[in-house]
Amino acid sequence: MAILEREEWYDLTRTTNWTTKFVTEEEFYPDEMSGHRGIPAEAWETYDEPYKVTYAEYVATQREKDAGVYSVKAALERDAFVDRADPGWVSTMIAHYGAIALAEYAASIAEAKMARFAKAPGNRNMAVFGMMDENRHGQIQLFYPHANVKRNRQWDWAHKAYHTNEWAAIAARSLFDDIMMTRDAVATSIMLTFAFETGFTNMQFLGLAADAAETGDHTFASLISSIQTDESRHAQQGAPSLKILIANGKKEEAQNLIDTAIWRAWKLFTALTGPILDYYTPLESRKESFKEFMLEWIVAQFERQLLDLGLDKPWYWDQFISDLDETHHGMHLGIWFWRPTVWWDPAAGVTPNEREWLEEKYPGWNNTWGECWDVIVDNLQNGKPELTGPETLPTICNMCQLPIVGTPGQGWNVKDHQLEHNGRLYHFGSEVDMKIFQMDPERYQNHMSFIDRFLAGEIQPMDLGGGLKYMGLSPGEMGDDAHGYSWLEAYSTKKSDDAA
Amino acid sequence: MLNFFKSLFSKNITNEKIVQPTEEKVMSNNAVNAIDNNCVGPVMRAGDVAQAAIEAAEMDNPDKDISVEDKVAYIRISTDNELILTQKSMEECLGRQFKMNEIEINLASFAGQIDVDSKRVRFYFNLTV
Repeated sequence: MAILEREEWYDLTRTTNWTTKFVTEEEFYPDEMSGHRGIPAEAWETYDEPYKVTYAEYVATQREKDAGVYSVKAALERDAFVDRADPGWVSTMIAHYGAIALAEYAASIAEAKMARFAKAPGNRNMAVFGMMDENRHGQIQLFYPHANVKRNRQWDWAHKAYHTNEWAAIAARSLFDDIMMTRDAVATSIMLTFAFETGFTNMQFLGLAADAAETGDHTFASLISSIQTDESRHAQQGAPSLKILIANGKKEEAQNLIDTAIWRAWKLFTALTGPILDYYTPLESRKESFKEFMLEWIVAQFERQLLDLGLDKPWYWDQFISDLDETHHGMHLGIWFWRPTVWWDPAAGVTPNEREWLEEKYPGWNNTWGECWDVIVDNLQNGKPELTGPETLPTICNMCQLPIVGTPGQGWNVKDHQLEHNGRLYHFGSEVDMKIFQMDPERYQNHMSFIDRFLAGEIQPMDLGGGLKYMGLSPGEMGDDAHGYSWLEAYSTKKSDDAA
Repeated sequence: MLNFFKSLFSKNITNEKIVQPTEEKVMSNNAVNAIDNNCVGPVMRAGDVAQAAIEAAEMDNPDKDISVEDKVAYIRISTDNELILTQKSMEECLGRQFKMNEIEINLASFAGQIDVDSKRVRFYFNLTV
């Protein structure tokens, strides 16, 4: 018996909808959860997911993907790449797993919300697959680092990070809570699957895979690029939602959701992905700079798709383009400086050769960021390591929950954007962060940043020990320079070369 | 290592920074213009399916210039406005049976919008810039 082609039966079967008898349709799909926005069911039935798969196809394909990835891991296990990898690369993996693994589980819940509450049948169907995808990503990205827990307790943070109040974990939770855990199904399809997954996950899962392959870490390259094949399918849930919102006069709202998600994702990536690609990855393994990957994946590929769907560039476009040269350098400097407060060992990444690379990729780096690093290098060389660590807390942005940074040295533009709202003073790292707050203050006003909690007396005792305890960082977990400061030798060599 | 952080959290927090107007930044052309492109096509995980897709792209889009960027872990295959890959060409290039949806195993990302059926996958833009 011949089997029907998918397209001969798929649309009909997946559009099957319930007519509820025991409850009203509104009770079945409350707006708060479904986000139908008063758009009638018939309109949602026009939702046409562009990347269709059947359950049988899904299972067969996923089996192949896992077979491929696990076989690479099994084949390379005895090679013990981790033991001879550059420490900067090990930090990359530890930071990655901690920031990502449990967020994948949370994403599975967000997909489940769409699978249950989306009014568009096609969205519900795709979200079932998305839910299983994210479960796969959570499990596999806990399984891989678990093999390394015997090497170093920081690897345990793959599981631990999101259960703590470590500051970077607070920032990551703040983003994901905002774009996927506290939004209705339609907004989730737009903010999570469209803005975050069509856009930003490519940076962390393909940009980084390119560097991993160059480093020789084929296990990691194979893993994260395989994860991204799931993403590229289930990320296609957002565009059909956008088309329906635009066709029903809701373009402005759709644009706001996207603009908010892009900016918030961008900020987190300046702290996570930027330092990894431009500083932690060994110089000889850097395929492209963070900025170049941003231009490839976000500007040329993702933002261009935004235009094709009838949307506009985000209103903060010029600021965003300009920040591609700046923000992540500040985040990196801050993270290295406050290194005991993160669960990985930040690599400085500023040997003379690396600085040459940075200057080439970011003209002016030496006159700005370089001036700060000059001071750090001097202090380390002169036996004053105590001057290369923090004495105060950084000001933290009440939107992105990351330190407020700017360009130092000759390009000085650091600014704390302040806003008084209902008798409370809020701080923001940029005008954009502040505007996002002002567009929906009720959503954000009660959140306490790490600094707010400190000032409110929630962190006790009010000293380093109390802070590290609050963040869940035990000895053996808190970060220190990835290379144990051995990179300073390159400066001594340079000095004696210069003298000669 | 920790002794020099002993004063962390113990001092008053100062956040008043000197604010000076930012000079208008001169941005490099590639940053501003990167969005002005019509490139569509698959981004494949490196391997035999990616190599087949490169050949199939030439066969299925005979009048077009196909660009191939090899980034070791992934390979970006692209052309302007529309790129089609058919099951028939993929099977011919791979020398084996190939269901069109199997491309997902190696389709890590793509530029443009996508449309998938049993016989072909199509990457496209509606709008030309």
